[in-house]
Amino acid sequence: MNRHDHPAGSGRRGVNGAVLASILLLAGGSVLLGLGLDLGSGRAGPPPQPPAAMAVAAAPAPATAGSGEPVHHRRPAGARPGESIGRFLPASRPTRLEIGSIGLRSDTFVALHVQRDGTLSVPPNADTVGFYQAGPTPGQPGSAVLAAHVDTASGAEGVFYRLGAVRRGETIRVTRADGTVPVFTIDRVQAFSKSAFPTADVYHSDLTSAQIRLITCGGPLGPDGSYRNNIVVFAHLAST
Amino acid sequence: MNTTARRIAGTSLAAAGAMCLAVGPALAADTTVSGNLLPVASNNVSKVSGTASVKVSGEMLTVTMVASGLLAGSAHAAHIHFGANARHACPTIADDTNGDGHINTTEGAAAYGGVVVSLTTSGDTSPKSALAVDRFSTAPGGEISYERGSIKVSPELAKAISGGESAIVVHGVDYNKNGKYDGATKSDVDPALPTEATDPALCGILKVAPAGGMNTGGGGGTGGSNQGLIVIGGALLLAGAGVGAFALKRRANAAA
Repeated sequence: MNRHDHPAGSGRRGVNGAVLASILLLAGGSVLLGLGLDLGSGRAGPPPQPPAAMAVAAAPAPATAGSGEPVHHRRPAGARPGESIGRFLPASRPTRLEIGSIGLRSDTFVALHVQRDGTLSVPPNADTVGFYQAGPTPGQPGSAVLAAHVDTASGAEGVFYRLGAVRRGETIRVTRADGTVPVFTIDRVQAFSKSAFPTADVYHSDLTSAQIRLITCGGPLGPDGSYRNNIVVFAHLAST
Repeated sequence: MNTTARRIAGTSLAAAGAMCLAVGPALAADTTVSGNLLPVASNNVSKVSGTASVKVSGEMLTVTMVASGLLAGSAHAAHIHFGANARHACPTIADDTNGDGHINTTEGAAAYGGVVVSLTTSGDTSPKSALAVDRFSTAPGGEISYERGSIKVSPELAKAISGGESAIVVHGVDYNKNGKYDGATKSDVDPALPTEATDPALCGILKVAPAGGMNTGGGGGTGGSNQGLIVIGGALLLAGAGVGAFALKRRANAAA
């Protein structure tokens, strides 16, 4: 960034004020441009993204083709054969979400609902975790869905700012209103283009195991200023 | 199917009105509704849990359901319920009209309507099989894992289900915890059965499931947002280049 090093070293008699001014302007401009481009809003950088190998733009092929029958039941990707996932828990709403590996802990939840366009609503601010309350609660059969913002338009970090940094094998702890604390093991973290969002994989998954999905935004910004991708964390119930 | 229908409608704009009416049913894409199955209030079944999902493709249903915590080894009748005049809700203790402290089948129907599909493991799925106890899951280990496709229903019923107005109900409660259906109280729908065999245990309203991505970001966290610094930096660069070019030109002129 110190572009004036080289010119300043060539201390010839022909250097005049105009050249010096140009050097200073170039240097100052470069520094400010660098700050603007590299440091974003003055934070440590853009939110973490899943590894490139796990980031796909297109949705995987639908689980069922043709008539959609029969329904395929799958073991969660991270579950070992014969591994006990415990019995399902009765319904109880989440009261705390913790992911130790990224220092995430949140006690504030808001109910999400399906909007007229079919998509899930989002939390009203970046400090709360949304919970799709018409779906399973964490520990019930099927996928409990939690979603939160990665950031705000003004650059403040959202609850799920670091969600893209989680990795397979790490754990998610959910405390529920009934006092139980189901622990989920992460199977994968993946980025999907919003235009090719894997609806079935995220929302209509296998009901024979208790799973959880954490959703936020990621990837590059589109022309409308919103993120092009959703980052989704897939995890299965490991213990209760 | 949906894409094809749209293409047809789009390529014959002149007949658009008629086409829309003609292909109306085909335009309805597959809809998935799902429900969180909750213990029926006051029926002593607090440990039961379940989730159900129904894909509606035209007039065909594919039902997937998992439930746990039920009385093991006993038949659990399970149905889709709907009533045009029902509340499309699961019953509460306020529905206990006979005042016995429990919700029986008749009392539950005020909330979620009558049986419209019997979720049998084989054969007929119509309301006629509502009490076909030999064709319902017996919940080995207290769990039911059910899936069945190609269940044909009327267009009206398909519309009600995909509109989020139906309920899935799993019946069978062991009030006295003795491991079987018994007791002096007879079922309100079949006097040959104890009320334990037919009282509802789990209920969930099938709501339209979410689809598509989410707008969970403001965009401020990426590098592209700090336009102020970028604009000033760029302006300084341009100014520097301009001044530098002026200086070089002057030196060149002086040398000449």
